[in-house]
Amino acid sequence: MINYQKIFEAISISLHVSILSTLFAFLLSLFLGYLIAINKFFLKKTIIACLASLTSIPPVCAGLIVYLLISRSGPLGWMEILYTPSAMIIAQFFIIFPIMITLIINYIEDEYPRFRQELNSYGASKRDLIFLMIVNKKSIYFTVLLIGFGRAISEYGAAAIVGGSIDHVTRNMTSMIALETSKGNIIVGVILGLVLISLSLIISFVMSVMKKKDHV
Amino acid sequence: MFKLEKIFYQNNQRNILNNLNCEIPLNKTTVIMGKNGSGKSTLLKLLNKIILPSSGKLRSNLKRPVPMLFQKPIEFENTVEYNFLILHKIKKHIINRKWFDEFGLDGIKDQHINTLSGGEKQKLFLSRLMSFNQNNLFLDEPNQGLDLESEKLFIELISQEKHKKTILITLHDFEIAKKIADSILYLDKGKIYIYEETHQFFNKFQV
Repeated sequence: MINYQKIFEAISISLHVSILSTLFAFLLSLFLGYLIAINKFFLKKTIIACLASLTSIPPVCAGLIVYLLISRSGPLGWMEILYTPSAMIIAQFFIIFPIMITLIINYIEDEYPRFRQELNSYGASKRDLIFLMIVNKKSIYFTVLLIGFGRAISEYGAAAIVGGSIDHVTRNMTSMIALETSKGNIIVGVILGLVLISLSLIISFVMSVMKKKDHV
Repeated sequence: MFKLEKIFYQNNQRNILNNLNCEIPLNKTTVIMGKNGSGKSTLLKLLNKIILPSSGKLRSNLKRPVPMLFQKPIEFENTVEYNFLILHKIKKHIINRKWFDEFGLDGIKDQHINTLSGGEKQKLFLSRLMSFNQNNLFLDEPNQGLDLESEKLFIELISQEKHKKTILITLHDFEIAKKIADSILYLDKGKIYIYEETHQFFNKFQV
């Protein structure tokens, strides 16, 4: 007998955690991305290189780092968020933030010199410049959001380590697929797998539409 | 007047402009010509104070850069009308729609910029710049992508402006230069090869 309520619960936990981690990572990427890309400072290239290499951080390692930080004896243990959705949000944030900020920095570094030269001739302030760069290619930011969300919702290792796959609390789609499949409930795994695949197909479709819109 | 004294400009250890000495008069149309990579766009940006010379002195009446037509102007992901008006939010000015209307852009004002051809985009960028009613015009290859009919219209429109404005244009087309220039400055490898009034230039250069 398939427990659809549990399936919906897992989908809802996945969406809740991934949407929030994506939004936090996006907002910080946007803010820091601009700050890093348009200013010249010591160690700029090193920071960008570090962020770029962190894009391929294995989710399990990100989970482990967050676990060490928030476990009872860790420096952030006082927050008591281990095995909560908040811990999963932080772990996913660690995975997707380097990807999102690297994409944003690349875009700004390519476009900024051109924007600065032309818009300065119109007397634009730095604030005008940033505002116009943001509204100029909204599809870039949308793509960054989708890439981040796609990665967040489909990862397993990190959320499982810090979330603990607790029923009704932190059992998201990926951890439920692993658990139910190991218990022999293949059909539940397949249903959730199909939901995940559908989500990733929707994301790919939206991204290709945005890309097409860019190159009409 | 723009007065250049021993102007050098280097970028990435490459000499773009080499010891330029000349005077460019106000209220005249000066066309800057030369092969690719000869330093035309750099000179235009330098005259508009968008970039500073590596060494030498530039004297001019311009206190700060004025809006200019770049080779790859900024496009905003929105309609033609939005692209035409957006920069007026930064630099408030009475909007001159003459070029916009003459180029027939009013008929496509609600179209998305991504649906325009290269030539239509160029007309939009020219119209956007001309909407600012400036006394100094800096145009970097304004005819790129324009068909013959539009090019003719461009010559007509710029000729109407030229008597009251200081116009600096980079061009590759000698025929257009002949029609609109009061004088032509020809650059070769960052140096002034010829700088003469138009009729004298064509006498000497025999294009």
